[in-house]
Amino acid sequence: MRNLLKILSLIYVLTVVTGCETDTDVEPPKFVKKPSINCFLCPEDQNIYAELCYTSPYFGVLPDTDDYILDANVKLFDLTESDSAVLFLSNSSGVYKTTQNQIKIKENHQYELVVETSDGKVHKAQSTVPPKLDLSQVKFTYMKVGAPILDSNGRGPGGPGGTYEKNPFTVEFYYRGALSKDFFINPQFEAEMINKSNQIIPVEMMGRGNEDFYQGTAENAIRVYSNREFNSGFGINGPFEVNAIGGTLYSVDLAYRNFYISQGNANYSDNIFNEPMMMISNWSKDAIGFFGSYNFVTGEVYRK
Amino acid sequence: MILFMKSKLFSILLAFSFISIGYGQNKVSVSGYIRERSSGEMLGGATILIQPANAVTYSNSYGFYSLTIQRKQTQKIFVNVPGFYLDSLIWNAERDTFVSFGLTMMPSSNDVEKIDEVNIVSKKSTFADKVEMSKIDIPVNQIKDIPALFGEKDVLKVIQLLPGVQKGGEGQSGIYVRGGGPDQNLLILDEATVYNASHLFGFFSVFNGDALRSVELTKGGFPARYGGRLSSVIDLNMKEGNNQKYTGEVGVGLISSRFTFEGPIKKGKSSFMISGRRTYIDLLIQPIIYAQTGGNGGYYFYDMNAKFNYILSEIDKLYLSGYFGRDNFYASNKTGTSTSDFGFGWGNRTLTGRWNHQFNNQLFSNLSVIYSHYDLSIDAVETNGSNKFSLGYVSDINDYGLKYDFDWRPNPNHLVRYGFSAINHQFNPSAVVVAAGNEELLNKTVDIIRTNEIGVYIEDQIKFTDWKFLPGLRLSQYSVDKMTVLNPEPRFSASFNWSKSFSIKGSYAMMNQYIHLLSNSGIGLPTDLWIPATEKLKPMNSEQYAFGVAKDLKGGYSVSFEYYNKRMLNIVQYKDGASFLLQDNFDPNIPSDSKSWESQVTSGQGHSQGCELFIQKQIGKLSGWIGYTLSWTILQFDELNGGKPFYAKYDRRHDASVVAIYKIDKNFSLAATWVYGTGNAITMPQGSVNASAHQLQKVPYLWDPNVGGINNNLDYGSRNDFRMEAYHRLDLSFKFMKEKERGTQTWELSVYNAYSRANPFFYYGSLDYVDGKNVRTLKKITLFPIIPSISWSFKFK
Repeated sequence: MRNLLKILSLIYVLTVVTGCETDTDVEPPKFVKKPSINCFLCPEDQNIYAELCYTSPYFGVLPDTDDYILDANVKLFDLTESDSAVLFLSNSSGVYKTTQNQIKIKENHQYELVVETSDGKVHKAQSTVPPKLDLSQVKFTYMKVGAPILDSNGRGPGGPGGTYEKNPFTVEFYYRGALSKDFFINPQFEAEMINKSNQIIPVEMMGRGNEDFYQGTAENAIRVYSNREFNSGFGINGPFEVNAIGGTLYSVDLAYRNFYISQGNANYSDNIFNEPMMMISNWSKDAIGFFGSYNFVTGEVYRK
Repeated sequence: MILFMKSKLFSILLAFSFISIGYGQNKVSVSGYIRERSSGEMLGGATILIQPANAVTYSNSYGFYSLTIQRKQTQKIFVNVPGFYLDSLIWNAERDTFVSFGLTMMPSSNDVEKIDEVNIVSKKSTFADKVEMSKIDIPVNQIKDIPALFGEKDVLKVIQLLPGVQKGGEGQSGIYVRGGGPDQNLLILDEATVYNASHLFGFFSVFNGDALRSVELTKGGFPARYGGRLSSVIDLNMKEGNNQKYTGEVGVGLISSRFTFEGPIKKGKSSFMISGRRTYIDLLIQPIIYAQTGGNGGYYFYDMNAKFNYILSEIDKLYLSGYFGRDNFYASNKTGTSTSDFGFGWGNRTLTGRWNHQFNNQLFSNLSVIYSHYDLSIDAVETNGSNKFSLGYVSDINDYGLKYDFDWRPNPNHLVRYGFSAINHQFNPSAVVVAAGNEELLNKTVDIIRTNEIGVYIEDQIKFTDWKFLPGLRLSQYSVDKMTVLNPEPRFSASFNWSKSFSIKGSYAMMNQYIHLLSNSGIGLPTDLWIPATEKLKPMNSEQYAFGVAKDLKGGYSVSFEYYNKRMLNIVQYKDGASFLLQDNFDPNIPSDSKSWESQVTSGQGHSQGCELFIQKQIGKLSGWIGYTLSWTILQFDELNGGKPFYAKYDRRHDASVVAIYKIDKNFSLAATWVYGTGNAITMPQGSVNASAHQLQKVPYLWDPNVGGINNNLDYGSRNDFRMEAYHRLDLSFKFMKEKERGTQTWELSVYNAYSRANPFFYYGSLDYVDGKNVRTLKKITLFPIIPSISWSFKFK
């Protein structure tokens, strides 16, 4: 009797398990064709481009080619100085550009890009160019390079016999200059890590990640921490300390930040643990894309 | 506790207690306990009526009642609990009297005949008469009659069938009350908080119906004695155990078995109850896994409830109760020189010690010492020759609490409740630690975050002619790191008895919540992270007001209609692109404001409003209810959806449920439930476009669409802009009971999803190459088709 019950239970579980988890087609969201307009201003760049393309359906039969917008009227206005320039179609990929020196991109100026598509719709977006930041106001107020952690099995990229090390480190980045809440800082710094034999390993210290945008406070203080690690070994062994830090300090507006973050959106739902990444456009009407601006300054900010 | 004793609030409370003890010398009181006669179990919610004084009160959750009236009147006391025979007693009201009642349960077929008699005698109904609104007592006996998946009876699944309460999705135990998230529900089992109420990834709840005595849901108009959550309180009490004789119940289902055993330790003085469950899916699928993969793997859960109580004297009682449960998923494999082991487990532990004391006929107290624990862990180890990869994820929370509650009944027109609670939370919201050939990182300990939550409350249930009022005030104090906040939480409920069976009600409640749950919206895995409110993540706050009417009808029917409006502040969601797989700080010197989970989340506000209709019939051959909710829940976060408002994932325009239980005779019963809910709001791409990329690097380069990389950007429209298909399902069950010499045997045949509705579990896009073209289709995963099941149980006499 017990065996019979066990067999029946097994058949039941098998039936339920195989019966579960079926997948069927369902009606996808309705596709609405929208213009995608991207344009980014930088005072260092007097070539001003705008990239125009219509969206394609995400579901159904996917088109082989992009639906570029080739017949739009595109105009850039400097709202601060009442200046303007027309962007002309420059190639068959929907790229529009100004002619040389037609309009100058300046810090703290507000610009408006106006795009009129062939269906008569007018799309507008504004952007204020962020100021160039002051590298002398950058401090690394806390820096700690941990003791190297050895691989006890002697494994590592150098092959048998080598010793592979991991070096955890922590830094506190501190920007003391004033920056409006409308702008964000993105530090892209690299450190020279040096050991007692004066051997140097370049290490990415801050930046590269989508999350590394820090909003201005307008109160002269932006303070962030970073925890990372770098590898060493095979003749270049620790302990290390920071010898120098240098790189580029970017200042961007909200639209550029949103554009930058949305670039992580290339693959939908590849990681089920992740939230979907929305593209937060600053265009009026139905357009998507971004009209933003960025600025930067490069140099060394620390030397031992 | 030390913090609390230092406060002025405690002094006020202490003074109030002494006033309560000395009050009312010129009146006469009757007090005692209401029990079930055969088992000695206390009965909460019993109606006690004294005639001709026309004084009414209700027993509290410990079965205690007290009424104070004018001296020198001969009175008759009636005690009424639906489903029990009416009990009465002549009382010569000359002096304070202590009298307890033992009520006898009616055989079910007699219910209909007796109900009218009960209502005539008591002159009162229970539904329309109470001042509280948005509160439902779940009849535990009905839970056992309602059909369930695999025949596993589930309290939370039944709660999901009530108006204003929505389920998350297919199979999930998570509940969403009046637009609030699953973290906004306070689940308390014998005073202890249960943080994760899910077994089997949410398909079953941790509450074993066999071990429960009462379940009460409050979703609005919160009395001041409750605090700490925004949306609901689900108060569950375990059985105390039969103090008259040994009895028990065993049950065998297709995926699990259970037992309950209870009896006296010393007859009439002390008793115990112990109840447990375990699944055996792992044992059944083990041969299949081994045959297919050569490995080992499986899943099981178990839980155990235990309770002991001791009656020290008529005025002192001691209780000790606990819950211990765990889920474990495991898999291991070995091929050649490589091995892999994976483990995924989560579980709750609670322990509550309580002391009931009756100071006098009017003042009752309960002191509770509470411990609660929840943890989640993931371990994976892979070895290949001498190479080893390890991954560990741990997250846990420990609560140590003290609660002291007083019930003071100075006269029939006042029921004053006051007290305090203090909880020390210890959070360990850790994250993934990965180590390649290195055990040191894996064994790394992380900082524990300690927070303190203190609440002091007072409320008074006032009766004034046909009006009833329940004003209350709760003061909650919260401290974490250097932050301390003190928040007043006013509460108010009122009802007006238009007639003996019809009342109009209204309520207002402000609530604060000092704990957040980070929950990924995409999956139903229990990878949720409980985190404390901090300076960055402010405590959540809500204000809810509600209006409604309640009407008792002939034949045991009752109807209620409520409108609610709730605003929620500082609610938390993950930022776009955030993940629960967070890296913690390497360096313990880093201050807590740099905790990585804080940078992954953002806070915003929510607004929910809706109407709820509830038609209920608790007794008679046909019992059950019909519930319908029409609601809107809209969220707004500055950092999500471009700051524009969007529907909450569980915004549900229509939500309906029908529950019917028909007792054919004492041996047979039929039951059916039908549920309908608008589909969940999800974020789904509508279109895509290729656009030039740009990277910020230490050596800068300029954005130029003519050079560089291309990104395929997706146009989602707005957040949660797409609706999944509506959810509906019919479940049926047939129960056959037979009296045997030693007890009652029950066979139950149930059918889950009787018309095999393909309800969506989740959606995904599938890309195929068809006739030389790329074609993407939207597909839905469906979990459960029609599932019949059978179970057997035996309840010993």
